[in-house]
Amino acid sequence: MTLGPRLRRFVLTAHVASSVGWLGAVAAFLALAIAGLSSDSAPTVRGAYLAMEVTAWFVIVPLAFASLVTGVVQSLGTSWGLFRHYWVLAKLLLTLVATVVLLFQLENIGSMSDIAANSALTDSAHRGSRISLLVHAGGGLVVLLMTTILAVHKPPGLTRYGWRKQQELRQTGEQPG
Amino acid sequence: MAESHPDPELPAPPGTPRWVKVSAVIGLVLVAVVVVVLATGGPGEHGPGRHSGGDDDSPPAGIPEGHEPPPGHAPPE
Repeated sequence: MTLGPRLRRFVLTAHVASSVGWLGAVAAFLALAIAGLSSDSAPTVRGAYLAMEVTAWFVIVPLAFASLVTGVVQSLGTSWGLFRHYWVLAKLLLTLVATVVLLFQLENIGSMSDIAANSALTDSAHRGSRISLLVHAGGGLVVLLMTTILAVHKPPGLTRYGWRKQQELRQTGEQPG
Repeated sequence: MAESHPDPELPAPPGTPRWVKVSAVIGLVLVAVVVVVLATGGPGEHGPGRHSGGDDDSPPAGIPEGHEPPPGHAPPE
C-alpha cells in the first residue's frame, strides 16, 4: 500500500501536528502537576487537579491516539514501512508504551480530580498519588522528546526484515514508493 | 509473506547499529528499575488501595457518600 503524494502530505501533517501537540499538552500537564504538588494556594491546587483531568481526557488522550494512528498509516503508506528501519520501530514502541501508561494513569488522574473537587487538599494529602502524576508526566515528556528526536534525525539502520525487502526491491528493479 | 530462500549471491545482512544496542540496554535497565520500584512499593505505588488515602494522614472521606466518579473512572477497589 502506497499513499499518493497529496494524501501522504495530509497524513504527515496530521502526524506532526498530533505528535507535537501531544508533547505540548504533556508539558502543560506537567506544569499543572508541579503546581498541584507545590502550591500553597488551595484554589490553585484544586484548579490544577480539575484541569489535569480535562486536559488528559480531551486533549492528551485524543492526541495520543491520533499520533499513533497517523504514524502507523504514514509508515505503512510509504517506503519507510513499520518494521524496516530501527528508528521507526523504536518510535512505534515508545509511542505504544507512552499511550498504555497514559491509559493506566487515567484512573489516578480521575481520582485526584474527584478528591480535589470535594475536599481541600493539604500538603500531605494523597502525596503518593500526586507525586505519581508528576513522575509519570515527566517520564512521558522525556519519551515524547525521544520520539521527536528520532523523527527528526532518523538514525540509520535497517532491520533484517527491512534489509530483505530492500534486496527484493533491488532484484525486481522496483522503485521504492 | 515473501519466500525467504537464502541466496548465496546476496551480501550478508547488516549488523544491529550501536545506537539500537545502547538504547536497548538503557531500556532494559529502566524496565528493571520500574519493576523493582513497583515490587518494593516505592513512591507512587500502583495497585488497589493507592487512592484510598492510605499514603497520607487525610481521611478518605473527602468524597461525600453517594458520589460516583465520572464515566470511565472505575472507583478504587
